Amino acid sequence: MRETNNPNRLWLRPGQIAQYGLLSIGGFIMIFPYLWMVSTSLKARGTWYNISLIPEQFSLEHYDRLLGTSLLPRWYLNTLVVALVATASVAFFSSLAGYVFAKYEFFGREFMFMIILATIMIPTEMMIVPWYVGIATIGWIDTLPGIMMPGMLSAFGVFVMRQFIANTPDELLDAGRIDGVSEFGLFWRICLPLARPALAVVVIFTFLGHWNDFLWPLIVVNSDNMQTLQVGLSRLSSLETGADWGGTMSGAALASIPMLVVFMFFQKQIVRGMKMSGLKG
Amino acid sequence: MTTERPYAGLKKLLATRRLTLTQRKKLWAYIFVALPFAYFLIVNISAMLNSFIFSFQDYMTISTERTWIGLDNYTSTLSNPIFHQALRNTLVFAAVRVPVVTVLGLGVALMLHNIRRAKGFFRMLYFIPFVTSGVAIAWVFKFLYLPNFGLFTHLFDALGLPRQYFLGDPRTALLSIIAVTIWASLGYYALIFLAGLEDIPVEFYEAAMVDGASAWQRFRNITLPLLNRTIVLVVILCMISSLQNFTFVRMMSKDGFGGPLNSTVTMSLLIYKEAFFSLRMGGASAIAVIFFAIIFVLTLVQRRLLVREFEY
Repeated sequence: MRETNNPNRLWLRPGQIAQYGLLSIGGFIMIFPYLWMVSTSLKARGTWYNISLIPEQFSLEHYDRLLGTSLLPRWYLNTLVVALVATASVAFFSSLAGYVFAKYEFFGREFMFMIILATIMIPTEMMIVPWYVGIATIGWIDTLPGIMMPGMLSAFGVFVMRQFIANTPDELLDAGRIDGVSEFGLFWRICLPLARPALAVVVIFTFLGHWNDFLWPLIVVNSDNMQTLQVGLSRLSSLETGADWGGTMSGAALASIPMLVVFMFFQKQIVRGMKMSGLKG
Repeated sequence: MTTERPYAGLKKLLATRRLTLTQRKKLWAYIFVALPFAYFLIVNISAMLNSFIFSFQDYMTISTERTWIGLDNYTSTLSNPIFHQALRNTLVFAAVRVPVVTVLGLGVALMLHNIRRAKGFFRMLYFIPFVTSGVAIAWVFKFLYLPNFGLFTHLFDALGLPRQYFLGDPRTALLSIIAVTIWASLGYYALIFLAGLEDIPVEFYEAAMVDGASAWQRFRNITLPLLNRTIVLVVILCMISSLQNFTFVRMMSKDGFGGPLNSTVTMSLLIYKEAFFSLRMGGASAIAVIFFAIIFVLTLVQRRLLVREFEY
C-alpha cells in the first residue's frame, strides 16, 4: 500500500503514527526480557528480586564465576568446534550435492533428490533412539563426533544450493570444460563462487542451528566436560544449591550474545535468505 | 588450470577407458553424490526404518537383547493415560499457538510493510529472539514467571489482577509456556509474511485505490488471496514446530518432565522420557511412530484444506 504522494506529508499521517506506536510497544515487549536478563546478571547475589532495571548493587561476580571457575569456557569451546566442523561439512557437501542435482543428467537423479527432500519430513524425535543406538555401537557417546554426527549434512542445504546453482549458465561450465577444467574444478571454481549468497544463508542457518541445538546434545552428552553450551546452561542451576538467578541470567547472556552479534553482522543475508530459500512454498 | 592432485590417478584411469564426455560426466556425478546420498540413507532413512522396527520389539537400553513382541508397545502406549495427556497437550499447544502466531505475525508484517522509516530497525527487534537459544529464553522467562518474586507477579499486582502461579499451576502452566514460544517465534513468521507481502505487485493496490477501494477492501480482496501460499506455509511450519516443541517444555515444566501433574507433558518430552529415563526404547519408538503419523496426516490435511490457487 504505497501511495506515491508527497512522502513528507504522509510521514505524519495518523495511520503511520498508530503503526509506529503499535510496533514500538511490540518492540519493547520483544527487547525487555533481554534488558531484564542483563540487568539481573549484573545484580549482586541476593538482590535478584529487587524490581529495578538498574542494579542497586552492581556486581560482575556471576560473570567472574562463570568464566573463571566454572566449565563454561570449555562448553563454549565444545560448541564452537561442533558448530564450525558441522557447518563446514554441511556447506561443502550440500553444495556439492546441490551442484550435481542442478547440473548433471543421470539415472536416479530425481529419485535421489526426492529421498533427500523427504528426510525433511522426519521429525528428530523419531530418529533419536536409533541414532543413540548407532552412536553407542561405534562408541561415540559423550564425544564431539557423536554430537556432530546427525548434523553433518542438511537436506535444506542441498535444496537451497540446487535451486541457486541451477541458475548458473551451462555455457559457462561448457567453456570451462573446453579449457580443461575438471568436473570438480567446475564446481569449486565456477559454481561455488557464484553461489556465494546462497552459501552464506546455508552457513548462517546451519551454524545457528548447531549453536542453539538442544535435544540431541542433551542425549548424547554425559560428562560435565563434554557439554555443549546449551546443555551446560540448562543444567546450570542444578549444579549449585538452590536458585542461582545471577548465574543463570549471566549464563543466558553469555550464550545468546555471540549469536546476537552474528545476527547484527549478517542481518541482510538472513533476511535475503529467508526470501530466496524457497521457503515461500 | 591445474589438475586436482588427489583426483589425478582417477582421472588418468577415466581417460584410458576412453569414455565419451556424457559418460564421464555421469560417472563424476555419481562419484560426487555418492557420499551425501549415502549419508542421508544411513543417518535419516535407516534411522526412521529402525524406529519402526524397534517399535515392534521389547528393547531396553541396558539389555542388548531384543525380542519381537508384535503390537505390545502400541497397545500399552495407547492405554497409557500419560500418553493421552501428552497427545492432548501437544494438540492444544498447536491449536493455541498456530492461530495466534499467524494473526499476530501477519499484523506485524503488515505494519513493517507499511511504515516508511526505520523498517530495518523494527524488523531486527522482532527477529532477535529467533537467533537466541531456547534454553536462554526459557531461563529468562522462568525468572519472570517466578511465583511471588517474579516481575510478572508484580505486574499482575500493579494491574490489580489475581496472583498467578504460572508454571506452578496445572491450569496455567501449558499456556504460560505457549506464550513464551509465541513471543520467541513471532518475528520469524512475521519475516516470512513480509517476504510474501513484498512479492505482491504494487500495481494491484494502485488500481484498487483508483477504484476507490478502502484499506479493508484492499486487504480483504488483494492481500489475503495473494498471500494464500505464504499463509499456508506459515501455518504448516508453525504447526510442525508446535507439535515438536521440546526445548521449552523440557526447560520450563516444573520437574523437566511435564509437571505439574503432567499438565505440560508433550509427545516429544514423553519420547525423551520413555527412551532415556524409563529406558524403554521400544515403547519410545512406538510413541515416535504414532507421533510421526500424526504430523504427517495433519500436514497433508492442512495442505488440502488451505491451498487456493491464484495466478498472478
